Amino acid sequence: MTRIEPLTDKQMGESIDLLKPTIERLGFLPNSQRIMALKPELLFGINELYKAIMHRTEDSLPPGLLYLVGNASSLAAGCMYCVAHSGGAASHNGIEEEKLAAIWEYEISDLFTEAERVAIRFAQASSSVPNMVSDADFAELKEHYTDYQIVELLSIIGLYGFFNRWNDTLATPLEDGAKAFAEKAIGKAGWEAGKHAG
Amino acid sequence: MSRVKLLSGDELAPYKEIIEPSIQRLGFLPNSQRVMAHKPELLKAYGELGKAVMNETEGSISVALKYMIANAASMAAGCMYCIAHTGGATAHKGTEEAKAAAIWEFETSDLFTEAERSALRFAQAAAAVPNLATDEDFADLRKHYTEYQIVEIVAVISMFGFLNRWNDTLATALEEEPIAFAEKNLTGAGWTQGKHVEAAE
Repeated sequence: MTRIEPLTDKQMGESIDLLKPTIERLGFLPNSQRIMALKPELLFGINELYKAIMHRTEDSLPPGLLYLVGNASSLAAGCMYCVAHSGGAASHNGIEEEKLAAIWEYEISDLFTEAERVAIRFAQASSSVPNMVSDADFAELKEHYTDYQIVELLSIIGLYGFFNRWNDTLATPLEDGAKAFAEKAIGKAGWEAGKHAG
Repeated sequence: MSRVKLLSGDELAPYKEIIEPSIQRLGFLPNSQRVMAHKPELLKAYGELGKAVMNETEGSISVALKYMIANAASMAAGCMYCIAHTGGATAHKGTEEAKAAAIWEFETSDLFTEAERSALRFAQAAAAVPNLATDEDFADLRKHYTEYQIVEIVAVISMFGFLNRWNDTLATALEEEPIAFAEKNLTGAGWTQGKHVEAAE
């Protein structure tokens, strides 16, 4: 069940203007943000953070990899709402559905490069409670990524740290589009909407 | 020791305006933000989120309570850096030190009101992995807080979802102020500095 009712377009009023890029990107406005809109500064703050993390420079990692990392992070935390959304975003940014469905087996699946494995391993360890990241993980990361890129990886893991707590606490109801994607792409890998079924 | 280099005061000079609100709120610049500064857009946006989540607005809960909630969430996640910071911050915002030291025993300590207990219990549940927040927790919160305040409480817990991962992954080195506070007040709760120490010169 919904623990805090997402606002309708009408209730959101001017806040919705801020979200035009999100709506264009996804084709709909996520319920997580319709709840944040109860405190408009929060909605603004989280959108600024999202834009900053997705801001690309010459040194930046591809967005598909960032969402793949967000997906692994959400799996480690167990937030099925965020697993569906980050999976959809990864797919939208060029990650094959087959690869998303195989993320549980990234250590042995041929679909992943060594650099991707290192990033996904890092996401899992840093999203566990207690935190499992070691100096050895950093040594391995530094073989594949610059400090700037490590900051990018950890930023998306941190952003999903926000979203995992937000959505799994609120039992945010999944939108039809996000649910349909997850059922098709990762249902066979064990994904279920659970309390986010709406 | 910090696993990614901390930027120095000189390197941070261009971002003075961005970091000023944090310095105002805490009394010093946290090392966590010296790492964020590798990507200046991130530092700036994190500053915006921090203001939005932590500042008092009309109808909001107090900043002191927000930091108590952040402290309980950080304990559930086990991030010693964030526990020291939020304990010091709630004291800085007016919570008596004895109370800041007793957050881990909020269920039984006389220092806490029922409303505070409800929020701290919720913070523990919402910061656990897997997430333990229930419909009953929400019903309990509603006895004490408005819908807007519940959104604020979830926002604080979530922002520390970012920070707990950030600092416990980086092993961010603790600064003098939170170390002094935690050594004085939080060792009874089992706090240790652990991996959050400065690198040897």
